[in-house]
Amino acid sequence: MTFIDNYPKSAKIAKANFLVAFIALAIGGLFGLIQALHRTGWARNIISSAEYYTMLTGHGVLLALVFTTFFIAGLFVWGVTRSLDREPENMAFSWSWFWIMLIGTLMATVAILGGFVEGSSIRAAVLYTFYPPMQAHPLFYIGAALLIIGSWMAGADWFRSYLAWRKEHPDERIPLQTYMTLFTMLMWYVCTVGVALEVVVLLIPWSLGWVNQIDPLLPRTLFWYFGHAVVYFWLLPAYFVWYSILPKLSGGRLFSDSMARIVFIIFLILSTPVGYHHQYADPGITVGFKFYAMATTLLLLLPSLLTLFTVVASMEHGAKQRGGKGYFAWLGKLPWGEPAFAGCALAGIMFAAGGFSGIINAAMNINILVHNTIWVPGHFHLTVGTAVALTFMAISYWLVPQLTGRKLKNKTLALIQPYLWFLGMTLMSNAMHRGGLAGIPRRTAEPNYSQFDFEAVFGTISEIKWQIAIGGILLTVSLVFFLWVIFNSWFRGERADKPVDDFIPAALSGPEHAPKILDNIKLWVLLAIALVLIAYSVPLAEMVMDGLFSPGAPTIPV
Amino acid sequence: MDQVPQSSNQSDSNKWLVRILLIIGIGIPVLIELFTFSGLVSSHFFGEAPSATNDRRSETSAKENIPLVKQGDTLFSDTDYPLLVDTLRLEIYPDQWRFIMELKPLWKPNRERSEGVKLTFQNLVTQQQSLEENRVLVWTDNTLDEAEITWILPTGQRPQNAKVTYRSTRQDSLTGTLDIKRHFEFGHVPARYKQ
Repeated sequence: MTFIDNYPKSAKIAKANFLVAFIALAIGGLFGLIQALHRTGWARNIISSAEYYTMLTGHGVLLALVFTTFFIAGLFVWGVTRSLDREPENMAFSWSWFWIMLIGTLMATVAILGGFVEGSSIRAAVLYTFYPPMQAHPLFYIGAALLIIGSWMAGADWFRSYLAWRKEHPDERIPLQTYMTLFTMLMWYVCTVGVALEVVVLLIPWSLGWVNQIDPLLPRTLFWYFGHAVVYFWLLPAYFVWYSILPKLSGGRLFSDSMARIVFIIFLILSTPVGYHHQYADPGITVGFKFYAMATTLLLLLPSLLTLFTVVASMEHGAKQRGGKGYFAWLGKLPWGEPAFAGCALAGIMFAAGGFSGIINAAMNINILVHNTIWVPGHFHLTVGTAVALTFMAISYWLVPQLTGRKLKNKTLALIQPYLWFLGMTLMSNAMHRGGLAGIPRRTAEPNYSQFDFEAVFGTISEIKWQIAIGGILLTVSLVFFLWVIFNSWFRGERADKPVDDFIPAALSGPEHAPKILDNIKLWVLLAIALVLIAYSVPLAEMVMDGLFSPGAPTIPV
Repeated sequence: MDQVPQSSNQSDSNKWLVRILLIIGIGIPVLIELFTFSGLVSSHFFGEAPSATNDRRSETSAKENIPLVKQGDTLFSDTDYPLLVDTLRLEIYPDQWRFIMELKPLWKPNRERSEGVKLTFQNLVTQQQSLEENRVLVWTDNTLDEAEITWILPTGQRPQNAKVTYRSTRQDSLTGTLDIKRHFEFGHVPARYKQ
């Protein structure tokens, strides 16, 4: 008996979410390749430079918002169901949030793809960071709003399951996977307030023509209130996998349950007050608040380092169960031939590199050196593009057989895929970081300014472009491998003749060793809200008092 | 007893593949990062400053050791009538680029000795062509007035260099008229976009 046999309704909705996620991954990934080839000059004739921005928006939205949100929804349905041992309380409600998210996604996607249709008035080349002055068709904003509303309902669904479970188990600790799901969603509720206000109060009326002026700073600030915390909304499900599944894949057990809970609490309370670190170059926000954001951002290194320690300790335990010895020799005993393990482990290694470049982004003074350069996409392709995406792909090799009851096919391709991704991303991201040091801008189809030559710190710009293009091609090949393996396993895979191994052993130090205060949801939510109020109440009040639609600052249109 | 993944036997049979993947998939990235690190470190400690390798940004032209003219520089500082480059900019309009240069005398010349100066730009060379148009600036009185020259450039063209003749007429009969011909290379010219 595996997941699909025990929880057939949950398996169905989890599969539906994964299917949408993988379709978005396929389209968004293809867009990414075309962008890389266009920018580096390898293939300038596939799209025009005007269409580049439509493609960039599609790449960002489909991967960073759609792929992640649907995959996370599927993962959390699986995690909450199995850890609480109960299917959703009301399947009609569960399907309603799925359909609302899907309709919103379709609306936003149609608006973006409209940019490829000549003469179409439906366009949304506003990039993933969809704040003014660039304006999208209302369909895009309404679609984005529906995607977020659907995700809120999904969170409510998991809370509902938890509350029903709590009635039956009043004295038990919250199971770890449910705990991680609830804390991720609480963080999501706190941070999406910003983007919801931006979209509903400001952008939709503006795009509908009900108001014709808008203060650029306010929606930008509301976007970044959400825009960095959303990174942790992507990352925490990867942590969910690293804490609860990776130790098992290593052949061992989680080192410390309470460490995992502490890490999720820190992310809940610190994720949102960091948004200003994307606005270091913005006027209109006092430097003191920017400094506060820098401090909270750097504090977020703490849970990442705690995770590094705990996950590596768990993996070492697993390797030693397999006969590993010594300080480092145990690494050789890890199951590097298992695609699910290899992908998650490589994603974790890449995340460490992303953390280092993130420190540069977070620091107010050094940030200016790389602000708005291609360094920044180099950074987030390490974090969301590998730590998150590769973890999601790798764990799919383990989850899809549980959800479909079919064996994984094309195991050799599945094994090559994460290594190829790791290699491709190293090439691409390394070159992007070096390009950023040379000042090459991001978000542009024409990075070569007329009569101006960028200078690489070492090597040449031409070599950097080659590296980006080759990296992009390797990533695409890896993505094709992944989609092929999943498609074949899902739709053509043999029925498993014995249960898929979905057992997750208990932690070495379980919840019985964790202080009960860690499960006090109200306390941590209140603390999170207090820190957000300290960071945002005064600057937002100033911006609102300046006038929502007729501000003192220069307005758009000027 | 802790669980061991069921498919460990299969991974054993794939050991050769795993070794190759580890060497290529992790080994090459490690080499790339080591190479990057050593490149950055050697550039920082042993390399030349980035601007030193760029002709356009350096203080002198690499070819002829001619000083690059930038805004704020002084021309003909070795004469009685040195001229300050008060403005040097490129105004970018949708249909044309304008190169604007504003000069003014650095100080009032000795009226008794000097009758003024005449500056003739004989040509202006861009990347693709030479504009053979004489542009003349004259200062004859004892003022610090600023004078401006504008060239209309083809879109996308930046000024590279110019030939200039400087003629200063002195009442001092010993020296009479002073003619100097110089060749200027332009350094960084800031661009401003205009509607």
